Amino acid sequence: MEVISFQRGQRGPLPLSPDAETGVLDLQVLLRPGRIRSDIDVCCLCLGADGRLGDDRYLVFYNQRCSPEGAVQLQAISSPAQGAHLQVELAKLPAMIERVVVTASIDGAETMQELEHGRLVLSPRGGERCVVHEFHGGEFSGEQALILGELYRRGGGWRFRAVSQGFAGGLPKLLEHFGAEVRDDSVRASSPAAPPPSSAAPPSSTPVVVAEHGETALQRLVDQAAPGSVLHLPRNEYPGPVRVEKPLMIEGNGSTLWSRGGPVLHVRAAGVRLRSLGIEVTGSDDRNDADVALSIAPGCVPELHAVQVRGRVVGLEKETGEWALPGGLSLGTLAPRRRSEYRLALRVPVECRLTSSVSGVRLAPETLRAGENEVTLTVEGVSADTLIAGEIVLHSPHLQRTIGLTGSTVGGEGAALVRGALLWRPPG
Amino acid sequence: MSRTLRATLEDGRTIEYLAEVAGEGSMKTVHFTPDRASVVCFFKEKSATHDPERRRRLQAIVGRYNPTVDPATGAYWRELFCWPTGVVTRPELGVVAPAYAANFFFGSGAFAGKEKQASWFIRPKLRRLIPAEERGSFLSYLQISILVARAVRRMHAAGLAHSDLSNRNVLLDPRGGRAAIIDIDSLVVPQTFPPDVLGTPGYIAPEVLATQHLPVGDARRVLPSRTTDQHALPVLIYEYLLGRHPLRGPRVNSTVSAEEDERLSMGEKSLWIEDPVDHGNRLRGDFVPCTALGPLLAPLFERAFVQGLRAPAQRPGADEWERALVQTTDLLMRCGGAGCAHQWFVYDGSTAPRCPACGWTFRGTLPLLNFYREARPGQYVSERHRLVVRQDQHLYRWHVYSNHFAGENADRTPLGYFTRHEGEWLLVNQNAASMQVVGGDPVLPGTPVVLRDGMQIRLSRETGGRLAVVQMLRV
Repeated sequence: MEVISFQRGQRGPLPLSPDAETGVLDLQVLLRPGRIRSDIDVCCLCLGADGRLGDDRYLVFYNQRCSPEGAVQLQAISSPAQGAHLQVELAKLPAMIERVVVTASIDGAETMQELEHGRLVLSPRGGERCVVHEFHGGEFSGEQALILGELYRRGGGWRFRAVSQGFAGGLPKLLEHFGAEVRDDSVRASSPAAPPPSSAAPPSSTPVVVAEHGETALQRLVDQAAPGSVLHLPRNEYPGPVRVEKPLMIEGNGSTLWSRGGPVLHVRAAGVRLRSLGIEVTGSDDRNDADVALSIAPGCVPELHAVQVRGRVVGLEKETGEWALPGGLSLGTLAPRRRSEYRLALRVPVECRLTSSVSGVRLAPETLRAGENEVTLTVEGVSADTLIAGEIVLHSPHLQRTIGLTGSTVGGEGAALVRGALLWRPPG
Repeated sequence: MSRTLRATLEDGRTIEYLAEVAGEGSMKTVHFTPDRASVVCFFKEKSATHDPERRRRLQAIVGRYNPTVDPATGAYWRELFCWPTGVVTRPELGVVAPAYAANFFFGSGAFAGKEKQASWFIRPKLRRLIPAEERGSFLSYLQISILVARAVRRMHAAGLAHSDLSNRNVLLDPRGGRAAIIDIDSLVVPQTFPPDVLGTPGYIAPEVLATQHLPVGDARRVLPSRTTDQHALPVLIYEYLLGRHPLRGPRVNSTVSAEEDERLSMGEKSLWIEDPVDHGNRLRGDFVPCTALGPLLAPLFERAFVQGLRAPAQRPGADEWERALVQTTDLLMRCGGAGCAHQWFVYDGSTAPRCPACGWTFRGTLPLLNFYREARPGQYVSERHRLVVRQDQHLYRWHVYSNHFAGENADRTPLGYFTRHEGEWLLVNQNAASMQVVGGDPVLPGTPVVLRDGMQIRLSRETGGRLAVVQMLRV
């Protein structure tokens, strides 16, 4: 094949046979990287009459290897040299494309000065002549990109120019040259998108509006309710204390009324009904009634249904007296799937029924008499790697009281079987 | 000012559009309406105008399969899909669709004004070409992956298949963590409206490529469907999160031509670059493996790109991807490495958390909440999932209750948050009902609890309420 050498800046007609412009041009960029370890990317930009990349689909490079109509196609070469093979069908290029520019850019910190040698070879497929333009790193200094050569329309045909012009800044600078402005990459990025949780909120107080005079929102609702009406509470946790001084039904819907110090709920009127409500003292102080959950004035015994208390009850005859109950019971580590038995003693002032919210836990006897009772707690059929967290519930005639129950079979494969271990007994 | 023309819609209405071609795809030319709020797209193939099947498909897509018209959820889907709003019948067959939102166009840089096609963001090399503020972080791409998986899940649930899922049909806004699926008019309704195209190279399922040479009527020929979407979806997710294609590695499957090599490499000879057994297509040198994406995503990638390449039925569904991606957000840690482009990474369960992008290593105390669900009353079993606690991390309903999921309809009211105060990590209950330390006191709304290693917290005693076991990992 006849080789025609083009020097830097030289321009001339394509060394093509008469039908070459309807055929395929092969453009090879072959690079011996020398000291350049980073990738060297070859791109082809198809520009309009204004010398700009008007349509980014005509930037043919590693991420977009073909122009829309297939006139320009790119295939990278990585061995033994770096570079690319471009296939250009000039006749397929739309009329708006006036120039086809071939570039190379370093994807790293090195510069073209470190390039050992490069060659741009242009030949019509199946032709007998080719154009070769050679260059080497010594021709450049701090540039990271090069315009190697370009095909351009002239006089109804196409011509070629060997360019070998360097650009500092790499591919972004090249794109800036042929397209719109490129922002300075040293500009700090904006704040990253917030994660799915919303941005930080300052520590918030309890989401309850405190009315004037330190009253809680629930107290306000109680005060505003008409005597004899029904106050429906959305299921929630409501800080107390609360005084009820009129006939009223409070439908708690599983809500909890709480306060750090008792009495949490004072009932000071007849005709009060409480339903599906928890009443809890969550802390204590030195006051006498600090541990009182429910305080009932004489003659004001309310009707109670599914009301759970944690704390003392005052003013309800059968509920007063000693309740010697543990705050919680820990079963420790159990052998999974095996039966474990425990003992505990409970002292109650009134007959109570015992249930458990934990599947697999049975209590015997199920009914406690007033006084001290010995109870057997059996756990059976708990799978491996399971945590137990529930309650034992004592159902007295008016109220419910709970004892927390915990345990685990995690790591319990080798645990000894428990037969009658004492869990708890009232002190003294 | 461009000349204004008029098109007629199927319902008899007319719509004005600018004569100037605003853009062009492989199948359609695109024209803006004068207000630029919508685009009118005409099929380039003139025979399409007289194709009753194509018209029926468009009617179905604009009508009964359109999720954006639902009064309750339509607004959400309108942000995620560029769904056609009308069928154009004259002068040619076409569709009217919303113009892409402004956040899906580059605002600056070399591609200012150009669409933010996903292809520009998927590899670190490409991301360097776009302005820094547009590039997003790892978190952005995780959010985007969730949105794309959710969109595909929604399509599949409606009986549709996209058939041409690729980075050319997804617009990304990494800055805002948003995505939009475009080119909806070629959706496939299985057994009703067959696919128009086989897909885009790199995303076409192997079985489609392997049988494309067979005649159209051949029963052995595999056409795009939901199952092939289930190949393209993990390819997209893998690209977004790891910045590389899962099947493009160093192995050469044909020296005849690049096209033949591509066909085999994506088709019958496809081999995952991280295949655990066959390393023939493995990337050389160090690379971030998919195990860095955490214990929820890595197994799905293995199903998709090991079993799923040859046995399409084994591919994870879009719902599985959505769930795993959403739960992976619970495992995120912020990278403290200066200048780290990713800014976030996934906690992989190790005792020495490390950012795979920059190598930054966490030092200090890392609180973890290991989740247990109530399998039987009072009995809690591990969900093999946890929440990595960080400053100002919020606790949401889908954390507190095992029967809630962070889907598009989720209640995003925070129920609590975590904060470090005087050297202690606190969980502050904002609005969770009946939260309690097991064997301890209730954690009432508005009050905090100090996290201690081994502490068990019943996040709620209501149905579905989880139990969380606190683990304080000291690194």
